[in-house]
Amino acid sequence: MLKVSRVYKFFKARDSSERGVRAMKVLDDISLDVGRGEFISLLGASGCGKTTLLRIMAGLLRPDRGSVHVNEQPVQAPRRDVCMVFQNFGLLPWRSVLSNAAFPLELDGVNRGKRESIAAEYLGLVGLSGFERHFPHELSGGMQQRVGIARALVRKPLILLMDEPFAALDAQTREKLQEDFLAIWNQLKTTVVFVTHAIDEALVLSDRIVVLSSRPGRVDRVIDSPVSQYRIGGDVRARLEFAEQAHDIRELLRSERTA
Amino acid sequence: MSVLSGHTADTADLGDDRFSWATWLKSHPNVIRVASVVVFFFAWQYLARDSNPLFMTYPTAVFKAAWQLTLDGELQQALMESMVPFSVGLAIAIVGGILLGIAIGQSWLLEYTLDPFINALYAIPRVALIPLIILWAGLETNGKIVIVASIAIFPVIVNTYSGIKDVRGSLIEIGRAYSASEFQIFTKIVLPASVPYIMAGIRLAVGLAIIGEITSEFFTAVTGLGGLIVLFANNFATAKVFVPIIITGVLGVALTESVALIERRLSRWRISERERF
Repeated sequence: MLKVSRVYKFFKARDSSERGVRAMKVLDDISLDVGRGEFISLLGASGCGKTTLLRIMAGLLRPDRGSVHVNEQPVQAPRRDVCMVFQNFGLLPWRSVLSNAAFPLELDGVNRGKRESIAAEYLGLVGLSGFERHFPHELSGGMQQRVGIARALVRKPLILLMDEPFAALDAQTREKLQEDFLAIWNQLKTTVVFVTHAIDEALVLSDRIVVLSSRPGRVDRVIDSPVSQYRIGGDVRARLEFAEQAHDIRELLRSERTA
Repeated sequence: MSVLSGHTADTADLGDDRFSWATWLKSHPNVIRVASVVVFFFAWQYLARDSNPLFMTYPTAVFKAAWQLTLDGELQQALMESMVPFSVGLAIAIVGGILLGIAIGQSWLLEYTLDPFINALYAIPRVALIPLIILWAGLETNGKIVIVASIAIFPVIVNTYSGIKDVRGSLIEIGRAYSASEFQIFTKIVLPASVPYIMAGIRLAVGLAIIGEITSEFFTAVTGLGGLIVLFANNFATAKVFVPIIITGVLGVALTESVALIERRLSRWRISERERF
């Protein structure tokens, strides 16, 4: 479905010792296979290159070496069936909620009546019926991100790429959105790649967690979530396996930080 | 429970409900504005009523002069002579300014090619060019149109350009992530994001266009409201001088305010966004 093969990425950085620039390695030999309908998290500290990796998957950045394939086709540029949810919601502030959600279909040239009825359907799915005529600035952060999710879903994407989508929200709102988003995912069974720096978020949501080490970003370990079969409709945070696994990951990230 | 205190934990004293003039006036600024203008006219009338009519005049004399000029048809004619080139010149400035601003905002080659000229023309007081423009385009309507457009176009160009340059990269990335074409990114993201800037440019252009119109008529001194001002001032008809001056002022305020109204409506999202962050 989504295959990342031996991806390297370098950024230009100013050298401290000499005058001039040198290449700083951001992603170091990343390989990854995401199956259809799988929910996978990229977990790592800030600066580990997880967002860079997501942008490469999205086709917004080109890897310096290696490749990304979706359904056996190489990704050269953003694809219409791979949709993105942004950390800061990324809504167009002058557009209504409905028109924001319909935006991808508008780009595809779908006529107004059709795209608005599809958008309204997905706004209903994310729990925003009745807010179609509101503007983003009239909504809370959590509601804005619901619009962001609806917008990403209107194209019925093969893959949903989510860049720390709940990081800008307060703790209660975040948990509520995690729960609601899981229910939506369970209904649609879209493949999801979810970037996060929160261990509990990765454990609550995903089938598999890819732990990335920092500078350069490297796949440290791939963990099958021990609680994935309980995550729909239950509180996995209360489970013993959850606490144990969270502890292990925390230790892993810590050891790697001191190293 | 004490009968006298009357306060329990569930009720809070939210302050006095007594009517306060200060609060009421603060929330009704137009009342003060109108009162201020009325008082000004009364004071002017009272203080200037015995002055030498060659040097000073007073509101009722101005009103009488305005009435006389309207009966003669002189005022209507001057208004037409001014408003036609003003409107055409302003329209050229707005359309041309937006197109030029977009062009230099989108193409670095055009930007670097044109910006020395734009900066130089911006720095020269445009009034300095009026004699030249009159030489080339004549004293009549065409000359006025060129003067008005050349003065009013700059804020439109500069604001459109800054609006386009100021569009956040994160907004453009939304378009890219959703496979928008370059043209779609421009029409659906860059341009709407620049609207508040463009409207502010248009508002400034209206004010400058009025200055351009009247100044050009001073130079030509034959037609329009500016022409009337020069004519009456040279004849020491002081009451009459005030008629075109007041009309110009009222027109200026009315036009600027209507543009500001549209501007606020189109920029509502931006204002509330600013309040939020």
